[in-house]
Amino acid sequence: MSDPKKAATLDEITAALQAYETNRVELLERAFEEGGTAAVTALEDEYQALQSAFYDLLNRDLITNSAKYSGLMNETIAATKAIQKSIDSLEKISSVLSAMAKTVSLVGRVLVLFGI
Amino acid sequence: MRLKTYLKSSLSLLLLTSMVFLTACDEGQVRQLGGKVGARGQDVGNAAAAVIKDLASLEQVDYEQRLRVAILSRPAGALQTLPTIQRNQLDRDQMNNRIKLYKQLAKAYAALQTLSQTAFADQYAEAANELNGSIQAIKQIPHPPPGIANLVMGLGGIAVEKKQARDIKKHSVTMARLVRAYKGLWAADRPVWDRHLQRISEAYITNLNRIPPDRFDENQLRQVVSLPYAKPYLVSIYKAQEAARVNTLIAETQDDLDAVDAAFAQLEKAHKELTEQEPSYTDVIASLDRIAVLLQGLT
Repeated sequence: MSDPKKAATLDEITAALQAYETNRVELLERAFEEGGTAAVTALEDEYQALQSAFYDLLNRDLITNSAKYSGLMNETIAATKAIQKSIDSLEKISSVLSAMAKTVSLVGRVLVLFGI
Repeated sequence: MRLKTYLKSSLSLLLLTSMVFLTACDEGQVRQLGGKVGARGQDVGNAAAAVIKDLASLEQVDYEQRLRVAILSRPAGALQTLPTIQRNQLDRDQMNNRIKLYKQLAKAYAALQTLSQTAFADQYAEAANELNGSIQAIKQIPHPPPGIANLVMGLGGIAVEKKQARDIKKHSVTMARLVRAYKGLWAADRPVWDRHLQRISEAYITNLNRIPPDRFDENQLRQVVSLPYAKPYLVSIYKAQEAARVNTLIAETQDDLDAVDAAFAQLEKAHKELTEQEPSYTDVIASLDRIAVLLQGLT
């Protein structure tokens, strides 16, 4: 976590989630006694909102990190292509020699035929 | 005449090129190391992609576990309405982009391995033999064109090996720079993965531990808990069993993350050593062998 403020916020949310989870059964029972199923659902919605906030912050970190290394994919593709180019170029040396062998052979035949 | 001039100039060019590459270094060793770096680099890229895939797949486990404790935490009177819970998701696009990114790294290393391990000099020798055969045939002709026989003398597979070694070194420098960046991204993401794993564990275990015993069917528990303990202890044993199961799952993923951390560090170390004026090949090989050990079971 590069941003200490964000890390501190995540720590606080984690502590709040843990506090709720430790007392969840009792809190839900009290809510039910006071407001029925609607109160239970409302309390659980708050808990879910806290979890969503936690994951929003985590996802923001992923987005920030991606932005910091935004050129990485293109650079890696460029490196892959450059290596492939080297492979092609090395293969080409042999194929050029092969082509030259064929040409020299042809020249030989021309020399024999026409006695140049 | 034009053809003869072309032949002469082409062969001269090849001879000149071969001279440029004739510098003192051990091409065989460079090729061997390049191949090994390529293989281990692929392992690191593929392992990183696999661990991120595993992290994403834990989402379903987390969802099912949280749904179960959400039902169990409710008072019996509130069970007419089943709880609805949302998936706690790490951004799918971000996860998929990372998987693609680490796989691309593996592809780049696969290309480096091909560049290093292909015997281009042998391919060259075969082609050169073919050419020499043609030259020999011309030499049988009375009054062969002057110069042709001499031109082939300077050619050899060594020039190809030199170029291959030089290219491996050049691309290894590029890969060293890229690996530093990949390691940086991996390190920046690591706290996110750790918090995600910790939350999956807590959201289930902390909740489960607080569920009152009267919400468990002890006869059913007897079938799930194989240990020979008396009924009042079965609930606690079941909770401990579940905690151990989830902790093992989380610990295994954390071990995999640690392994990729360490593998990136070793890969960077190997590249760094290779760029030294006088690299210690023993150190490079030790780093690369360490990667193989670290990633056992992950690749």
